[in-house]
Amino acid sequence: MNTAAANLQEEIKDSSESVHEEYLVHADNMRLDSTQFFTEFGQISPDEKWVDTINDSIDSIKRQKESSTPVVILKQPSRPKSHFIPLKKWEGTVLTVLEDSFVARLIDQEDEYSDSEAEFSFEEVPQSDRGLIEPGAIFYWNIGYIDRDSGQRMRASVIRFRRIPVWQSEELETAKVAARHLRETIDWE
Amino acid sequence: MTGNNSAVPPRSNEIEVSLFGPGYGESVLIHLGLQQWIIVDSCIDQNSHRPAALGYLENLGVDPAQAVKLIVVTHWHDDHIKGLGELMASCNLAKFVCSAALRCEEFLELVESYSQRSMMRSSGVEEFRKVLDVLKTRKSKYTELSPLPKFAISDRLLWKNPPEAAIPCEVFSLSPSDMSLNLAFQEIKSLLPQEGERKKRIIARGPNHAAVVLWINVRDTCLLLGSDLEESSIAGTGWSVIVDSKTRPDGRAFIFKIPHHGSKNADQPQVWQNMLVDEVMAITTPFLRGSVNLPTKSDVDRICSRTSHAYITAPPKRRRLSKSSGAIAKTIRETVRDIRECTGQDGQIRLRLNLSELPEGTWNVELFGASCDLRHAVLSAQGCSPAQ
Repeated sequence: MNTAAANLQEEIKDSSESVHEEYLVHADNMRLDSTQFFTEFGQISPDEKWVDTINDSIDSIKRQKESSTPVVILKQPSRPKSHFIPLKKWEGTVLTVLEDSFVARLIDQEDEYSDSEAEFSFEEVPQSDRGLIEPGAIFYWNIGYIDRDSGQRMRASVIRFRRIPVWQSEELETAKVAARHLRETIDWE
Repeated sequence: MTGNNSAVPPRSNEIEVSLFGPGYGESVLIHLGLQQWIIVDSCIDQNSHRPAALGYLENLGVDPAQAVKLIVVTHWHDDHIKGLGELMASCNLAKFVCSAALRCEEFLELVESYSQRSMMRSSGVEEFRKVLDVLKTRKSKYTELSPLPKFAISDRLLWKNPPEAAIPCEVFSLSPSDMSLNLAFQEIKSLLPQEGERKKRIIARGPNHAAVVLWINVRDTCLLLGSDLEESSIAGTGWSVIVDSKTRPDGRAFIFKIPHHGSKNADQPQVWQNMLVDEVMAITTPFLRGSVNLPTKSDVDRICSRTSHAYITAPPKRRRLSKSSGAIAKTIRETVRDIRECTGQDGQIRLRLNLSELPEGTWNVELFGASCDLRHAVLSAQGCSPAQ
């Protein structure tokens, strides 16, 4: 292993403790930017999978070394971090779905007695959530600022639909038994 | 006509009908004389966030636990049921009545299926769960004292005074009809979740086939509370069945709680011709959801052509979202096509009549909060339709 490759390998080892860093991997004709890297090697930090990914990378480097293929790994400057400062949050329930919009009932998360109805264009919903828009679907609407390390501040409206599991037969059977019990428990005139 | 002091209780021989709304939904409170009260539906007061009827009774110095004899839930839509659990818990000697549509096991299954809190929100299931819990508790604690709950169907006597009572009172349900019950059972069944189906909240906004219409006799005075029952083209349902019934109580009502916020769908002219006195005292609440506010101007014109004594708890206009400002308001404007508050202003219409002055006595009308003459409400609401 040449000196440069050894240094880079060390750097990868070090970075396994700093899970927020991002890298560009360059091996022979294979050049991966961070997005491709994570597509190739697994889920992005900061979860524990990152460590496995780093280990996989080291193994990959070892394999490359054994085949005498040069590997260059360059550290990229950290992507500017950003954080969301919430100003307002509603919980919404879809009431009606129209041609290119939906009407929802909104409950202010700081005032459960508030009650509003609003019409949202589908465009306000992330593409990945649009299949979830149906009457009764629950979503959250956040308004706030996104502050970036670069010093930029942006106002943002973020809509995310809840992904609730489907009904299971066990749940429905439990409800059926409970309903029968309830019927037997309460006497009616 | 505007009331000055809402905290003055009715006299023992005075009948009172108070209609509350639309802090959230509507509620009717009736004094039958002799410190006996009944409550029909429940709504939340916007200031106290408690059931409006309960707060009012406490304000009058009335103990709801002793004085409330009957609680009727006309249907399970959440604009008629909010706070019902607290009402039931506070009025532990009151008989509970609900539509016979809710006697089907599927409804109980629905309640149990949606017993997870986040799923119940925004539907009447949440309050009904509380009511069932109270009824279960009563069975173990108050077997001797608490009357059994009862289902309402067409032309059924729900409650009456003991024979020795100085002021005879009877409460009848005039609906739901058999056909309406069948339709309601089907509707409830269709709401039951299916295996593999994505979980979502219940959005029940169908026609109110199974709503309970009440007829109340207090000595010689009759009241007709129209609930949200709508007229229907389906034979055997709606107001036509009630008008044509041969088994309903006789008489003409002096007070009419106009059904379904005065909407055209709930209008049946023969009700006015056959079941109400001329110049009946007509009262209603606004509905501030969906694509239209109720009553519309044509609804008001129709009602006001039939009586000059029509009142509403608040003008049928929605407020734009007012609590936000600055960045929030700007982002809201940029994000939504339209946004409206669904709660208007609180209002109470109070009608009282001294029973000893019958038959010549006149109703004393007091308007509190945002309540007003129906004709005035339309003028007030003009220029405030959702489209603007």
